[in-house]
Amino acid sequence: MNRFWKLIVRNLKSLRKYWVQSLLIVAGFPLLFFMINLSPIGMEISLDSRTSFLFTMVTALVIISPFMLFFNYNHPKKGFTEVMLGASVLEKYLVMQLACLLFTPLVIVTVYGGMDSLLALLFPALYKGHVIQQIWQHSVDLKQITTTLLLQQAILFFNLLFVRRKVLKTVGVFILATIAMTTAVVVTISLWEASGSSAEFNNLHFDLNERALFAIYANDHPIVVILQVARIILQVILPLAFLTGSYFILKNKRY
Amino acid sequence: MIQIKDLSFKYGKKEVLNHISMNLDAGKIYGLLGENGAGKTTLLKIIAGLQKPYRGDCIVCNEIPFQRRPSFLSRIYYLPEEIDYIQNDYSAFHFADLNAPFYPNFDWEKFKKVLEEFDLDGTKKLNKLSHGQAKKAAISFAVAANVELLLLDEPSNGLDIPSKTIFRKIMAEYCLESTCTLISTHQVRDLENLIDPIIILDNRAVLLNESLERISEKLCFTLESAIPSDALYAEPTLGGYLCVSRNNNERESRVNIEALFNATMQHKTSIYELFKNA
Repeated sequence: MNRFWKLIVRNLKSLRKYWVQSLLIVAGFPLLFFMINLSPIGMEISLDSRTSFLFTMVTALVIISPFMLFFNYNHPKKGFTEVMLGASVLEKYLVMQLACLLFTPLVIVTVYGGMDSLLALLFPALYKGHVIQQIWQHSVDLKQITTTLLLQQAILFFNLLFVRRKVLKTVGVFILATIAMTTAVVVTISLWEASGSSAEFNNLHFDLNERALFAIYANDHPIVVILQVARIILQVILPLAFLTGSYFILKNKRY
Repeated sequence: MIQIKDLSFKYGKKEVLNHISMNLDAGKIYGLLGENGAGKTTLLKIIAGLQKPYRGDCIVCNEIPFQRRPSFLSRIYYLPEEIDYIQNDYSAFHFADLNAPFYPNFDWEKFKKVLEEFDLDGTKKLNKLSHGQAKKAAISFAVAANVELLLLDEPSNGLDIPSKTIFRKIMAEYCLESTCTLISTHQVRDLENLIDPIIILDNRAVLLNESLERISEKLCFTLESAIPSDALYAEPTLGGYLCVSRNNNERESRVNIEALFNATMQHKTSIYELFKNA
């Protein structure tokens, strides 16, 4: 526990400059909105807009946080200090996950929310409401959270897998995956229609949100089965593969 | 401290080390010599746990290095030749502040003293220092870590002449007596009077792993006006030829490491056999 704590402290200290720079930018947004509210054009950034902006920013930064925080981790020359630190692979991995999943959103919400509240307290007439209060009332879509986490785990995995040109390669993988999935959907539907079952297909009523993830029944339409299997792959198998894959890359990485 | 048995290593299909065996003890400063591509850096990386051998055993401090257990990592320090890892936007003191907690015997006083010896300001940002100065900071940290095993890859590369002298002094004065130090180098003159025993590595074998005392028992290093017929190696120098020959008459001579290396490279089998049979 002592060693794990030391690793967390080291992580926060080593990224001190990065945190300060990023947080200054994050804190700058409420100021920017305040300036817009002050401007004579009569435009006002509402509390709802400010809250939505915070959610978008947190989502985007959480997704790319592995690149921002651990870009050089597997660099053959720059990254070996981390590997040679006297802590276990699991501890190093958990610190990575904590930094991306917990510290990043927490710090962004605190700094953005803090600055927002400060402005709301100082200038209540110009800057109405507190984002910090509003976020608890903002409905968070579970699907959006799982998508964000899947993308973040994918980026963490590719950040550790690729050594050079990792951003370009990761974007390339995402583009290829999107093309492959779209092609699979189009081909499946085309084949289904070609088999003369288009009427049956058009009459098919199915809501993914109403179904439990692992609910596949014997009398299910083949399209429903395919969609359910795709859901299981995207929401269970891929996140697990990325989670364990990142750990094993870290454990077996050679420098 | 280090037991290596029948160790082989490949980069793809290219075999870099082939059935290497050796034992290294605590409390000695080993000099690891070898031609370019002989596998010196690879061997250091295997010992440090950064690479995994393709075949054979490597046991360091009673552990398998590639498992990279915390108990192993906190007892060793590897200083690579290229020190990009240290050239960050923070000072030597900040670097030590970040990493020292993972070395239980790290000595801050020693770190400051070694920095002073190198005439280095520990508060200056490492990415603003020259390569040589950053290397001095890295050496200072490595020495102050007080580890059981210190692996240094070409530590004198990039150091100016006065700093090379200071480096030798620091290694002799500040390294713990119990530490096993393994220094890989091409520049043997930089490390003369410091390294003992000497290991000469070839892709296919450890050609030599002997103390200077044993080497001078078996080989004779003399200055001759003409090359003797029994000389294993001779090179022209001021006042004649520096010759390496078998020490059949129990003559006392001072080992010239560079001449020893060249002699070994020219007569791999004879030198290997000479020490193997002894």
